[in-house]
Amino acid sequence: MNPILIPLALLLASSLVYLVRRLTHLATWISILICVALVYALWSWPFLSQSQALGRPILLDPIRQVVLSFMLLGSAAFFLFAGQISPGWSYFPFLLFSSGFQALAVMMESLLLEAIFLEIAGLVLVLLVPGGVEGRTRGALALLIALVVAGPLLFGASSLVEETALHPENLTLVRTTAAVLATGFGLLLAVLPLGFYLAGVAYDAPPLVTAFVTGIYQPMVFFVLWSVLGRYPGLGEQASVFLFWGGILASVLGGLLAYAQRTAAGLLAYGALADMGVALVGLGTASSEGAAVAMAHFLSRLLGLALITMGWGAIRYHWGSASAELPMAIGKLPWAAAGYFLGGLSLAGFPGTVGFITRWAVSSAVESSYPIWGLALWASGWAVALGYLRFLDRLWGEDPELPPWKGWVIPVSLLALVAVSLLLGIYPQGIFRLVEAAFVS
Amino acid sequence: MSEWREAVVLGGLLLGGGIILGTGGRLATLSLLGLYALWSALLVVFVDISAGVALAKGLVGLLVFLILYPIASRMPQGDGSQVAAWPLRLAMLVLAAVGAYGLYFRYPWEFVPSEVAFGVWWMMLVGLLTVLVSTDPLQIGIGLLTYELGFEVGFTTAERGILAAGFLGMIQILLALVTSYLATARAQAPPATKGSGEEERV
Repeated sequence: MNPILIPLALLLASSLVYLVRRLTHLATWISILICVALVYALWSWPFLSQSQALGRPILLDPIRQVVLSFMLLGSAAFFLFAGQISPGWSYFPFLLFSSGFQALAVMMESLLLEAIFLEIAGLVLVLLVPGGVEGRTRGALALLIALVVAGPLLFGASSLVEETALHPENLTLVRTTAAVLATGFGLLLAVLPLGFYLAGVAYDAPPLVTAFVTGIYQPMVFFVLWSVLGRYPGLGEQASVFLFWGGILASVLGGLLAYAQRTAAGLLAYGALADMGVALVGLGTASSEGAAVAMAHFLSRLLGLALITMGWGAIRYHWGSASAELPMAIGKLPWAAAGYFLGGLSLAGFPGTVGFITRWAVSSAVESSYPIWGLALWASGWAVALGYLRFLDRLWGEDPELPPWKGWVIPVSLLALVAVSLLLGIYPQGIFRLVEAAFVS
Repeated sequence: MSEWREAVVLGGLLLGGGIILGTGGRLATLSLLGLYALWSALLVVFVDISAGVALAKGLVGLLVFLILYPIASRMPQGDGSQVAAWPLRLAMLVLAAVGAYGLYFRYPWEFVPSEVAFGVWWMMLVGLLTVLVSTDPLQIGIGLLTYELGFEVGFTTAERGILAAGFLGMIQILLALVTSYLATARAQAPPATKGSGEEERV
């Protein structure tokens, strides 16, 4: 069975969901069901691990199964939440459409097609960004510019990598290719220029859209980068230098900028940037262990981001607010405040949270070769954590006129995520075993 | 043939100028359509690409125009929505020409005829500089389309597969749709959001 059926199913489902998008409950459950059914199919149907589609090779090996399951289950969780506090009718079909193209990018073995599919997936997400604040297009435009400028760089790199494979002795060519590739992916990951579109998206988009961009789309871009470097080992050494130092820069400056923020949106954006830097450093160590830790880091990152955005989203929804601020919530919505706060600490790599172990692994690896930069990675995490600790003050308090929260789905699912996050913080082997098994296979 | 070449280069320069200088969007949209038509013809004449692919690119251009022009025609013309004033935009135009000339000598595109190679750099720079001097979603979108089109012209000579051409065309149509959506969203913004300093910073 050809694995192309998985992205095709997502694209077909997006058309179906578009037709029923105004029936929020129906759209929600169709979206969730298709994601869960595809995860089941991924692991139980006899898909070929190697096949052909669009005249190019297409892969579905265990690591891709893990990555696609991560994407689909993450999307299903966001859909479940979005069904309760709808961020807009278009959320469900557009996210399914974007997921379809992301799945294509993850499975394709051609840099040109991978870049094209990532750009298409990102362009669809741009449409969702202005949904948060009426008339604000700053974040959407920033994301659009990053996507479109990165596209030709990666398309061009697709020709250059072929030449590099033929002439590995030409160091100028190898360096140029690595620089073009790193710039293209750096733009997509918002590392270049520092946090370029992340802040705008976090300010303008509904929290669940920000969560999808940072928690699902960026990890898929990261996976494609990892996959490309694996296919062209000659490039790996040069690219690792860019990734390592780019990651250090993003993490350190992201941490400092996060600490300086005075809004929930800014804190989320720069906290996510600092966290992305850690993953890039992991990949930049040019070892399979580093890459495995980077992948595990993305699994834990999704949990942290989901907690932040779901908690913040619930608070905003209950207050009827669409601003970047965080209203006081502990009195009426303690579960949302707890989720938000724990998610922030996890993103910062605070001990006892799920984000700690991977940040610890990367920082320790860096510390052995570059003690100062290893400490700087730790410090960036602490800066983000201090930013969230400072926000405790804002969350505190109660508005007596605000009615209590109705319904149980959101509080229960958020508390379940809190429990999972704490459990994995205490027992991180769960994530590592999953990633290790996929890598070994 | 040499008259053709001169006419093509001159046409490309004029249309690129229209994109940077065209405030309000109507002139820029028409210039973009002209660039699509010019490059479709050019690909057939100079690069020897199949007429079918060139026609498909021309049709993509027409579709992009049909998506953007209704939005551009509803926008107030020359309302100062662009931050940069005329002198700065003229300076940008000169900068694009000088930059394209320099890049053309420093990084000539392999397998690409010289006129086309200059045009590729010219369009990419015009597109990027338009993005740089604009705050209006429509202008930014047109700049990005020009940048992408410029690259595609050069890239098509190396990658002639119909699959890549099809997907690149799809990206341009999607980009035009996103641009029109953002331009409409911006136009319908409440006055406080529309003119705020926050909105101006991209």
